[in-house]
Amino acid sequence: MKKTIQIPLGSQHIALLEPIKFRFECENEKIIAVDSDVGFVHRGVERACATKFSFDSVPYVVARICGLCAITHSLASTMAIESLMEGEVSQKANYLRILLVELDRIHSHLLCLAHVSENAGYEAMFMRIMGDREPIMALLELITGNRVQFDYVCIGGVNRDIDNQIAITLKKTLATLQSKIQEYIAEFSSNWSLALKYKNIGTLSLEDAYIYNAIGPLARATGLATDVRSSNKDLPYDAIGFKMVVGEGGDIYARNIVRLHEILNSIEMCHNIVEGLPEGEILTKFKGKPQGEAITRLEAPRGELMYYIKGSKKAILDRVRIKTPTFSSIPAFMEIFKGNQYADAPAILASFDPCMSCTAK
Amino acid sequence: MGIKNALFNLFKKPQTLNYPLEALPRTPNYRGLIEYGEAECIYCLKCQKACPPQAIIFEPTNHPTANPKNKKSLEYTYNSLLCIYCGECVRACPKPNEALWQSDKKPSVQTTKTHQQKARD
Repeated sequence: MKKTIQIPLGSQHIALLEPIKFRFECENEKIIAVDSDVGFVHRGVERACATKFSFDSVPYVVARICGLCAITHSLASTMAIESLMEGEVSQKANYLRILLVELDRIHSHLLCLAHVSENAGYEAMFMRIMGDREPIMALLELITGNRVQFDYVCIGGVNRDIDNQIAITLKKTLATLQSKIQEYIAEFSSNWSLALKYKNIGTLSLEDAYIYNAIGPLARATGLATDVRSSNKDLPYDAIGFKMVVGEGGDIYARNIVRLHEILNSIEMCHNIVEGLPEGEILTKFKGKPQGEAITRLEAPRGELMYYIKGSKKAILDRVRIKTPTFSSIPAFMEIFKGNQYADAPAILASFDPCMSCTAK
Repeated sequence: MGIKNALFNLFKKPQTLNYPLEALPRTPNYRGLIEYGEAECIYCLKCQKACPPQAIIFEPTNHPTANPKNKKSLEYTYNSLLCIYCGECVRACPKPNEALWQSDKKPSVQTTKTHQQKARD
């Protein structure tokens, strides 16, 4: 007689916002094996970038891969294309690029924390976090002119500058958020339904994080100090006060706390950028057409985002290859589920902060 | 903490807007429709080349136009549904704010015919 039963989770499920499918092999309530499928929203973006769009349109096309990390996608592709052309980006443009990436990280992490609260059955917390996320979205709209698809980065720099009024609004909004994040840290570390219930649930050990190549907050929560920002030479992260946030335990609780502390660090970096914004042009001209191969790595809110671009002095690129953070983390995801209860699966999945439109692209 | 928040939220104004009865606030840097001044256009077609989704296309026509720079009798067509409002065309334009500029207007629901529809007709 068969002792295990198979239970699917997804591709459409009440706890999931995006289409991902897991097939759990369960022994009573305990998960013993996992199978996954991620390709539900494939749109052929890589192919389109190498056949239909010219190289200077590619940053605008890849931004459409994902609404949450649109700026990291367009920035990574822009940096890869720029490295194959002649020209230099001004320091001011680099600072403004980081400002947008960090604001994007703040709102993405807040969204993840809201979903974790929702899956814990704490709807009121979900509403509070989403309410506090709104000023950040308004700030992004104020800077870029759009709420989601920013179209802020272009080859040679950025499209818009920030003026005094925006800088004042930015500082005020971030200061308010900072005090709220402190409240959240207290809530996420002492409230039963958010903190204590999730200790030792969905645990990834430090050893497994190495073996399964975990990245982003998922890896940092285990104690693995991996962050592209610490080794990035193209963007001046050292000058604006980047600090690596490393947690311990590798469970849902640790992931929440790592995300909250990362938001605090991002707020600090945004403050430093606005305070010490260098003078200069925001846009410089780049000459020629991309020739050769280039790889760019950038820390997206969910982990390392990698772009490979190949060009041969033509308007259309030869190859665009995108490796997204969620795609790289899937082996680790599958490992974490093993040994946990099926009832905890939606909450564990929400704590990964998976982005399926990035993964399937 | 919980009771304090619950009481506070009970008497707080809602965070959402009563749309469409209340108008949505528009940020000063809102990215709206691309507008075109035919009299100032020099027909260099830089905006057409720069546009990522090809929302701006200069189509050849049979009738002569008023602008003497328009030697090939081209007609400017703009598809606001295809446009991503990135502003690349305005940055590429040699005469920004005169021939091409980004306004803060919203696209209307009833738009002019798209290129595809025109091709079908």
